[in-house]
Amino acid sequence: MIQRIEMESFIGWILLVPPIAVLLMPWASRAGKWAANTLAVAATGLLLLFTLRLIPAIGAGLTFDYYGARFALDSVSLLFLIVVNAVAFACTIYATAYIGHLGGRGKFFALLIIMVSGLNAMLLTRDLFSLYVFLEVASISSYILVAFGLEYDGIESSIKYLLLSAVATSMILIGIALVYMATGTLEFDALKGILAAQGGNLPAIFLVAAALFIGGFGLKGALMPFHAWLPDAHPSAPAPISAMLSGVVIKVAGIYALARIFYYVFPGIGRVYGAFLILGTLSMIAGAVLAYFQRDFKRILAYSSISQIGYIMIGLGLGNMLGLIGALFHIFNHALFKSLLFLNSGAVQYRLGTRDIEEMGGLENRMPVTSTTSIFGTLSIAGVPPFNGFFSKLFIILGALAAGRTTIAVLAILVSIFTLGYFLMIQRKVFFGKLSEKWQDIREAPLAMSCAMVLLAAACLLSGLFFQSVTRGIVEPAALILLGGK
Amino acid sequence: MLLWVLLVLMVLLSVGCCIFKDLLYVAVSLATISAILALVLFMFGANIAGVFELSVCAGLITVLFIATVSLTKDSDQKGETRLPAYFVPLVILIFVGIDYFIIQHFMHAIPPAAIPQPSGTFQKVFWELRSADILGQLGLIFAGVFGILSLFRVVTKEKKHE
Repeated sequence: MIQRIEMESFIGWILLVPPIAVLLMPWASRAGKWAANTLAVAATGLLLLFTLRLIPAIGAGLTFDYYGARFALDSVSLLFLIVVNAVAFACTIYATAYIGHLGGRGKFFALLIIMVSGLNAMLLTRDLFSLYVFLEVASISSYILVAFGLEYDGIESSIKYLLLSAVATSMILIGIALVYMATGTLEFDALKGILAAQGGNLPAIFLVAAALFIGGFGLKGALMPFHAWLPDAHPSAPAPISAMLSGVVIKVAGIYALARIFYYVFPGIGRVYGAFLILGTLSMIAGAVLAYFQRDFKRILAYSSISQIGYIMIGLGLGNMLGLIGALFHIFNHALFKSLLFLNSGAVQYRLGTRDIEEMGGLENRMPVTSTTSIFGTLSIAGVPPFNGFFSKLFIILGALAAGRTTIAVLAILVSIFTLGYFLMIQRKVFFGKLSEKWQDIREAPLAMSCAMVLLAAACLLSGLFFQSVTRGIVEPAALILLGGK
Repeated sequence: MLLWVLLVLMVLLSVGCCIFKDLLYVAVSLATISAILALVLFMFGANIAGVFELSVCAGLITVLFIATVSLTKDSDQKGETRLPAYFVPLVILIFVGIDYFIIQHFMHAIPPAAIPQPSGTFQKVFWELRSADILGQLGLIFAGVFGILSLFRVVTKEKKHE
């Protein structure tokens, strides 16, 4: 009983810490940059701490309600909460050094914390409309953060992101309206009960709602062919925001919502898992091919995110335990290594002032921490053992074979090899080779930025070395919850 | 019939908002859309939502828009390409086609009996049943305030980019 009360209080703190920090931020920002930095790092650190404290109870299969069951926590929410708050903590540490050249420190941290709070609340809510409201909280902060540098590219990308997201949220809202008209409720468990009672004979209206949800959340998750906003928005944003967007936002706003709706609320509706497989395969291949032809460091990473989201969608589309474990583990892993790679690219841009990889080269000795950590990120994303990406991709490929989807399994292996190829190309062009004369005076990124990169690199290696603990502790319980709803 | 007229009027004014060059016309069009939407809400019996739409969106927000527009100078306005405006009719036609297809094929499938009965007083719905959404609304307001402050800030670099 005491444990339950304690755990419920952690959920409360996860919801309350961000507004408190945001209210204090203007004062902290006036007191000086150290006060703003300390407040932001303390807020995201506390969020991570409370999230980690919830792990033992969730591992035991418990679920918790909070605030009259308007918010609840299960293993699926917890897995995503860990991802969001771990990446947010690393990005906040990084931003304490990075944001100096943009100015507006207090405002930046306030918006970052609002974005994190929107994502956390999305993960804890048990109602479709509240999910939409908190999605908007996270989205509006992210549009502004993309344009935070106030440069032409950022503002243009932000407008593009806003316009396409408006289409996505309209689709989601119409889908929610249709579901409400047909059932009279929007609560996940009530919907699940009503739909289960129909015994699989769902009215056609649910298929329209399902199509709208796939379009809307697919656009938020940047799945092909709904990806147009991502290759512009992610590179133009300040590096910690690029890391948050690629590492976290597209997963919660897109993948989490799709998984929650189509596994937990509407299990097995229509041929939706087949659609996941098609969209996933398309994204996996096209994202990798498009990444290969870019010269902009962050744009390569952005296209690569589309490709990796494809792997996750394939895992979800397989509909078996191995595929789901692979998808959920890849969400966890991709958040770590893609955030790391975006922070690496940000460190290089911070020192060199360019994102064009053709202008770089030989930075290995000038920026040893950035270079070494980027190798960790590269090996992880390419699926090289013992890094974490290897195990999640392995689960997805084994899941595809178990489901009789041999072609998809072969394609996943080939794209993984191709990914290794274009990431080695980045390594060669950015960090190895001859150092150009104009980069002779380049130094390593500031300490806070280096610390954040080292933290994420260590996480990539450790979650690979101890993959069994990670999968058994937080991934499998989440997969069981989702499959239990099937 | 009146409902259809109002809906078409709202669509036309929305198109106007996208293609008007004068921001004042845009603000007035938005206010008119909100007023018409309030009427539609009253027609559907959603009186409280109608009152909110009329007072907040058609009233308060319009005052804020017009006050902001009046603070801008002619020199602040930038010329922009009119090319997207020529595609607007095509886009509208496509969406009308999609809407027609959906209405024809699927809307009849909605079981009318499933539309819920009112679940309590306004206070109960607002403060109890949907109170989580109020937290979200507060988040949106904070995001808006810090967003405006961020986008219209004067950039002062804290230190030289080494």
